[in-house]
Amino acid sequence: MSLPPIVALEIGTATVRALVGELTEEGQLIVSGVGECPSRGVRKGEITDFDNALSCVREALQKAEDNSHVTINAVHLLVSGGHIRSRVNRGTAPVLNDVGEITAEEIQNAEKMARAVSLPTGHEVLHTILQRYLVDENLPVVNPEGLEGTKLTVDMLIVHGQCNAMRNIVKVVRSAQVDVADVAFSGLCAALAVLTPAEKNNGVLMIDLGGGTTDFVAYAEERLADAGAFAVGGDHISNDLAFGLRLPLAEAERLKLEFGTAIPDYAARNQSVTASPGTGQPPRQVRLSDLQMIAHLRIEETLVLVREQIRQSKLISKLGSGVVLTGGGSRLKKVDQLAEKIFGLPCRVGKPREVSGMTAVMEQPECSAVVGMLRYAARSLPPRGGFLDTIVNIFRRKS
Amino acid sequence: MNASLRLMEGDGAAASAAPYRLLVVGVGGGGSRAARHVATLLDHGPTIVAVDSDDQALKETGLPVQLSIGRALTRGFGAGGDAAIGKIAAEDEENKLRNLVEGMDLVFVITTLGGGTGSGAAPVVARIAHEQSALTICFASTPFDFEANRDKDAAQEALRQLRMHSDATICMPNQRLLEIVPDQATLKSTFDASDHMISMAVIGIWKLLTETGLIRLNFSDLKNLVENSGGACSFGYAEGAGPDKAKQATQALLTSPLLDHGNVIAQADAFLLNILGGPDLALLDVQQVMSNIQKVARRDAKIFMGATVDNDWQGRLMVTVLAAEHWVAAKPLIAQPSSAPATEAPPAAAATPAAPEKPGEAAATPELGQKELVFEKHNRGRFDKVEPTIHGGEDLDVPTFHRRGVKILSDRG
Repeated sequence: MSLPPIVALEIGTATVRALVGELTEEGQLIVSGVGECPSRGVRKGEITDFDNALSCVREALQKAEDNSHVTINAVHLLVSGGHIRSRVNRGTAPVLNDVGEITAEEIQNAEKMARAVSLPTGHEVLHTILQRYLVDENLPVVNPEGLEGTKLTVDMLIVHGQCNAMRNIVKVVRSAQVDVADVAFSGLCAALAVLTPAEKNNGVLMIDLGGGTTDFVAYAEERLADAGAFAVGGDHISNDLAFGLRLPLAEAERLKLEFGTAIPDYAARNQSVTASPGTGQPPRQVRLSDLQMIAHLRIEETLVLVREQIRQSKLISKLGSGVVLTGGGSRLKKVDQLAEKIFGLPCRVGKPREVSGMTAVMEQPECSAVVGMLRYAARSLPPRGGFLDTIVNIFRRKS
Repeated sequence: MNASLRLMEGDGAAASAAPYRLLVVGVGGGGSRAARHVATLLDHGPTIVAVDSDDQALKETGLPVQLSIGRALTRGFGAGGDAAIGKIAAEDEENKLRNLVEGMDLVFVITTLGGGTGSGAAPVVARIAHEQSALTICFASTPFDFEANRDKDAAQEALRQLRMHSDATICMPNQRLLEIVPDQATLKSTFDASDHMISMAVIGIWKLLTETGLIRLNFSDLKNLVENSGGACSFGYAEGAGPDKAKQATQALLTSPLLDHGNVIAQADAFLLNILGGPDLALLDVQQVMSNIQKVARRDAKIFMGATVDNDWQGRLMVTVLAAEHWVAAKPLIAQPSSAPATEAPPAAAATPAAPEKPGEAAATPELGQKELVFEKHNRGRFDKVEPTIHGGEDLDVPTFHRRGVKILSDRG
């Protein structure tokens, strides 16, 4: 017997995607329906045109309903955007009982302290993820209950984002007469979908190269160590190409998909490709080396942004399993080679793992985050009330 | 502590000559106590006022200017730990408070959160000061971990309020003090240390604005930092003496619990750093401090740096830091690099009248004078409606190749 179906919805910058999934009692994830619609009214992960975004959401949900034969009442919603950041917050609770033994009460107190964090104005907590317990500030333990000590310290990773941006996304969904059961950061979801338990234990950096945002999540020392997003994505590559080659955006997008590469191909430097500049204009030749150089500079810059962030959090030496790229941007040719060069670490392209059902649709790196959301939603407790009232337990289990 | 006390007293002349009108307001019992501490350290400095709903405590501060609030409500016996009463008390006296802050350039609101008057009234004072267009900086200490949860919750709420109503709020958790004071310290000396911590922050910023600076930081630097800080700043300071004073001070600063053992500096988007030394302050000292700090700081962090000399500091050195963890560069800073190509932008760009307002937008237009290519117009709006993505002072929405000055050769041959 399987649990009731779960619907994950991603209002991405490139595509609005709804996924209907079921989790069997054995923990197998089966995707039973998908609805997609090219995105309009979304830039860099944020809503810029409410009505356009709304009609895309309606369309995607309708398609998902049609091909899964499920009525969608509520969705689990992904959020991203350059406003999403994270920080580690520490909570400490003294052990007060006579025997000096850590009880559930101390754990609860320390966790409460660790969750109480001061954020920039207008920011809200999206996730609080337990990193580790320390007894007497030096002994890391998995489960402190019953151990002896004088104080208990808890480190939490607090993922937070701008309230207004997140509310706008929720508002679009509610306007489509659908409830939002939960909200989660798409980077975390993508990590759930593509990373293996071994990678998480060894330390790994996952980068989701999306259309409007680049999300990243790092695991180090067997815990979730850093997470965040930059408001730069595949859209920027297309935009750069459109400017540099003076082509309409749609044509730039086509050239990017067909000829784009993360590392310029010197053998092809004298070649050119035919581009159609638009209605009424004759096709013209564009130098391949220009196209590749423009794309290269942008994707390199994007990866360097992530590297600098990871350097600051002093994680780069702790990523034993290297880098995993996913998202639509990971389809760019040779992007894994470029990432290997930039990070000095092995790199692979990740697709959603352990999913069955509509495999043809699912084995795409674009779907990582939305598949991860199904897993995230399936593993958390029954729907909780209240927007952003997400106290996440799921990431503490490092399986 | 005593040495620095003497030093501050000598500053009267410099302080009174300052072109900035500064008001220090201590709100509530703890705030007033800290304000008095500031007054003893800064003899002829800024105007210092105590605001409280407890007449007895107010009298004990001995400050020349005192404002008793909420007498109708509390009959001068204090707010009894209820922030709601503190808030109403201050709102009742809004006119008097407004008169107090009127015409000030800079208002420091000092308070200890967790009680009634401090938590309730300080946000009101901050709001009024901010409404009178004074640059408003709040210094708030939050309760020790051992204090009641109810007080801690009230303090968190008050902190949110303060951030909303001030340009910047510098939060100093008392808990961090426990790492500084010796284990056997009495309760009184611990609270004194808390007062001292707040006072040093106030004085540190005051001195940075008024002392003769070798490398001068001014009011606009401070304003730039705090106004774009998103409301949250951290403060730290450290001293050093003797031949390796620079090294001592830097090390003390980077391990100071006030700055979370250097984490605040490592994460800050921007910070203001002032080095105060005696006439013997050497370039080498400044260089040593800066290079050590820069090693820790983010590469793209904006650093406002200053160095001031005070005769009393012969052979000693103090480094003060005000750090903003979430700082966004003010608009003009971004506009500069892209303003030059704007003039060369082809007419296609002129079709968008909003161009000068959005920094970087004009620069996004290729400089090639290909006027016949009119289809550029509808490409321009790609990132039009959204906030520019600024990172390290660069607008990332502008094509990377353009920012790097890489020439695109297509169609030229």
